[in-house]
Amino acid sequence: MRIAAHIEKWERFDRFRSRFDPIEDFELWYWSMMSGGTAIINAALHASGQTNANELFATQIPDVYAVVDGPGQWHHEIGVRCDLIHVGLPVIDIDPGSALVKAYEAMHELERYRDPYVRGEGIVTAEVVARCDSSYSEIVKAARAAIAEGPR
Amino acid sequence: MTPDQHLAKAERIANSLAKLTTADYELVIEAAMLAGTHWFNAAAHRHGITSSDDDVMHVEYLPRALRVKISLIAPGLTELVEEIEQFRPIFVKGNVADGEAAAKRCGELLDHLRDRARTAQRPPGLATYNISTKGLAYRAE
Repeated sequence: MRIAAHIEKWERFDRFRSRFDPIEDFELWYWSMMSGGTAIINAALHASGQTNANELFATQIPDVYAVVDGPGQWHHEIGVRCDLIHVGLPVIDIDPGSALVKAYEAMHELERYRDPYVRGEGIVTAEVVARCDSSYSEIVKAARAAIAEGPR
Repeated sequence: MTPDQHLAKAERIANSLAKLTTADYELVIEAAMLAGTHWFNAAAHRHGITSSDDDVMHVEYLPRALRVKISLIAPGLTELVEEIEQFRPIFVKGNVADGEAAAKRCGELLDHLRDRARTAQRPPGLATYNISTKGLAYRAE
């Protein structure tokens, strides 16, 4: 996807997040941050020239993308160095000097809470909420820095 | 997770989903995928198709052998979640406009999935196996 479209997705997910109680609605509060965080990281990866902005949309299969043919119609294509599904999917080498390194680290931390607390039976505590919230703030801050930094 | 745990988790997500509208289609679709998959797993466990230690994360990852078994015991069950999953690349990961209709459809699909999960029963005499691309493993339940 293009940089502006990723940023718009992040803004939308960020607004969705504000509708939820972090404990009562943890699953969707969390999912808003994970989805929005991934969107702004994709924008930053494109802005820093580390992945390609294009019209290929990520699927759940790494390196397989959806390409729209027309209303309600799309097909699959292989793509390389395009949008990530999650940080680390697909695996790409990140410039070690990029601000994105911190965004990656924070997203890895955030994703630790996905399976136990969204797909599993983990009991959400204030500490879990605080750690997720902190990771998300770090993702946004680092991704914005990488976007401002521009091509490397 | 046990069927009851899946049912409880799906209802939690559905309660949060009520705070969104179809204009919020990206998260409606994602929430439908999450809740719908919990209901799918509850139904599959109750039918004896899969064991509670073998949850499905995304139906698009299902091996063909498992798809065949589900299609015979619970016709149409996989397709309910699959339809939700098919909205994700273009409306959530991509920026195709007008996802409101997809979000509305997700609500209908979730109603069906909830019903399927609540009413699923094991066919008499059916044995449960974990089926993967690596082979089969019997699960006494």
